[in-house]
Amino acid sequence: MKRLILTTLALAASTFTAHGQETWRIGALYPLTGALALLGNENLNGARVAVDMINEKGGIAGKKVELVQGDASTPDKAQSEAERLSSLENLQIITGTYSSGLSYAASQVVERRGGLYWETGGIADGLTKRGFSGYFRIVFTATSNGQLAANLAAGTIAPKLGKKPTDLTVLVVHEDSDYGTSVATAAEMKAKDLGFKVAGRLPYKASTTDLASLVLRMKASGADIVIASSYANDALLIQRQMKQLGVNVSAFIGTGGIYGLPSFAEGLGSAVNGIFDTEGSAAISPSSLSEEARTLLADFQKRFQASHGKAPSYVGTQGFVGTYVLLDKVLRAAGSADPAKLKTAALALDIPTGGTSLGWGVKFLGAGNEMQGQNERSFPVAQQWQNGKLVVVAPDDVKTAEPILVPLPTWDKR
Amino acid sequence: MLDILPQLLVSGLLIGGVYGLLSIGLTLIFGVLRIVNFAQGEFIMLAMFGAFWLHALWGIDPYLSIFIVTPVVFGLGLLTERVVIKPILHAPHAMQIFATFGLSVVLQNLALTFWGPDYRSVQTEYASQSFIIGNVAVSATSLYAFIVAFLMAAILIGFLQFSRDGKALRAMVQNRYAASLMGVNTERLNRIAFGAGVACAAVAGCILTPIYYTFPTAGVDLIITAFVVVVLGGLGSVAGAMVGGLIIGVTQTLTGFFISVELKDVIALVLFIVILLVRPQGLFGRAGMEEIGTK
Repeated sequence: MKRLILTTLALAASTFTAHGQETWRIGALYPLTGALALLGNENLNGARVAVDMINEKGGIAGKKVELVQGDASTPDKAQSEAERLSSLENLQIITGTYSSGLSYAASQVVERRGGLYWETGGIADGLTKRGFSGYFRIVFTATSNGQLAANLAAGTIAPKLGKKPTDLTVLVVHEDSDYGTSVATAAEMKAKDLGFKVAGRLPYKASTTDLASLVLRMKASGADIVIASSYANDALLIQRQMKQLGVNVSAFIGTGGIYGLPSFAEGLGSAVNGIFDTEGSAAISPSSLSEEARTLLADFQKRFQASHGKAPSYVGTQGFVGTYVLLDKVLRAAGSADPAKLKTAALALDIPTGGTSLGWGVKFLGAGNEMQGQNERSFPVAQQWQNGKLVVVAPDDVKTAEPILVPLPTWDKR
Repeated sequence: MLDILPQLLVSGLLIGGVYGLLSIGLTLIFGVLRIVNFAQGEFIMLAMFGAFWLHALWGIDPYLSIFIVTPVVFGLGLLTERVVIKPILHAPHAMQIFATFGLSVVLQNLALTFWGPDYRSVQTEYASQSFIIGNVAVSATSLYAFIVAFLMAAILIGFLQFSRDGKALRAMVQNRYAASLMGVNTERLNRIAFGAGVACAAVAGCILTPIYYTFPTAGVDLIITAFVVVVLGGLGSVAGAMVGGLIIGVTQTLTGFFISVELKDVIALVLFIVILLVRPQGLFGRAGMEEIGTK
């Protein structure tokens, strides 16, 4: 019996190696089931388009690219799937993960095994503070997103209200996982620096079924501007309970995730108009993109629309841009799945701002830097829901529209 | 600060009604079959999808869809009883937990396969409406949920007290063996009780569709508090589920406002533990009920 198993294993191993010679096999680790399935799938769908496009152009060094999926629905599963992909499947490159918590768990495994971990979604600062030599993150950090929310309040909202930051009260509310906490901490500190009166920071559980007490505290704080980091149900509950309890604010800034998705607008109807959202965006002014980035973006959007029947969200575009850069720039330059060569190729990347379809450039911070592996040329932008659509309103060099509806009309007029 | 107290109490009672609504079916199934149905949240989720699609395809109001979705889910409950529950009725507790937990995973993934992971919502006019009484705002959707919860509890208690099947159910719960000797068809009643229990989940799902997003794991967040409520009220007691729901709802809202939104669940759970220390059988439960069931 034992012998039979050993023979089978040996056979299996040999088919894997034989297989590996024909294609580049890349691990794709995303939450595909469970609570984070929506955006996990969206991120992976974007990555798939990147793979298709590369393969149609003849692959890399004559070999096609193949994604080997792993379902990281919880941190535990992220860890075991990372283990499976890197040892059993013998993969040197793993990309993912959409969620910071999952990325923490999975990248630990890959780093220990000496592989390359390519993050296209998780934004918690700590991910690139671990000094990992094989961890590269192409997206911006939670801190830059939180700071942008505070900057938007000071640079755009306060002048429109005809007031100075010192006359305005900011309240930060956030779900209490890595994502919400790190964005909110950055927003709170920046708001204080900018001179706002900060009424405090209210954490809550994203899985909660009622937020009346949060909304009533919002009212009691007398906040003019609310900065919020949320998942899905909680974001909808905050808005609906604000209306039910008659809580009005001058401006509401969501920081990514659900706040930028069509389902958020569907849940609120016309009341969504005027709400701000800070995250990356594929809708930045096309003139700020390089010609290659513009063409790629149009091609991506056409393909995504054709296969999924809907336009890609920012998260889908993130998956596309991240994976495309990994394949077309890093893997092509390295010409090998040897982790040492891949890391060298990643560190040598120097794409100027505007060179990717999200407007970002790519330049990774190297060893010795506190944020080793972070792409220093990625940035979030501020958007606003106007007439049921998200448009980019800041910063100035990439915006496509002027902010409107400041102050927000009261609920009875929305 | 204190002028907000009436508002907090009203908001707490309203969400408490929702908790009661979520708990009734669970407590009924436990009371009769002595099985904890870990898939109860998934039946709520299926009903939410039912209400969502009826609205999306034919514009049927989620409240009206109760009359279509509930019978369908009741049928699904009968089928589930036959396929999943009946074979494990006398199995060890661990086995029963695996079976209903497994069922919940299966249902979640079926929903994921058929409808994808998207968050969907039903936009109705009353979704974020409220009635203002003095300086207290009463959320319309929560008020309707509250009313339906009490109606459902009253109907169920009436059924158990006065109908022939209800009396037979209570006899069976007291002594399954003696009841069957007296001509009670225990298999049929098991099936009815399980069907009715998940039908309660279906009513809850339709009522909650205008409040929450509909997605494959929607039941998970909703049902966690219901487990606490059911144990607090006394396993198997319908009235206990309602009272337990109100207590948890008010405690959460008050502590969420005065202490911490993040800790509101924790504080409600501490209260829960304290009550159980004093009354291990729950508020309306009888000692040893987890072994013998209830009336």
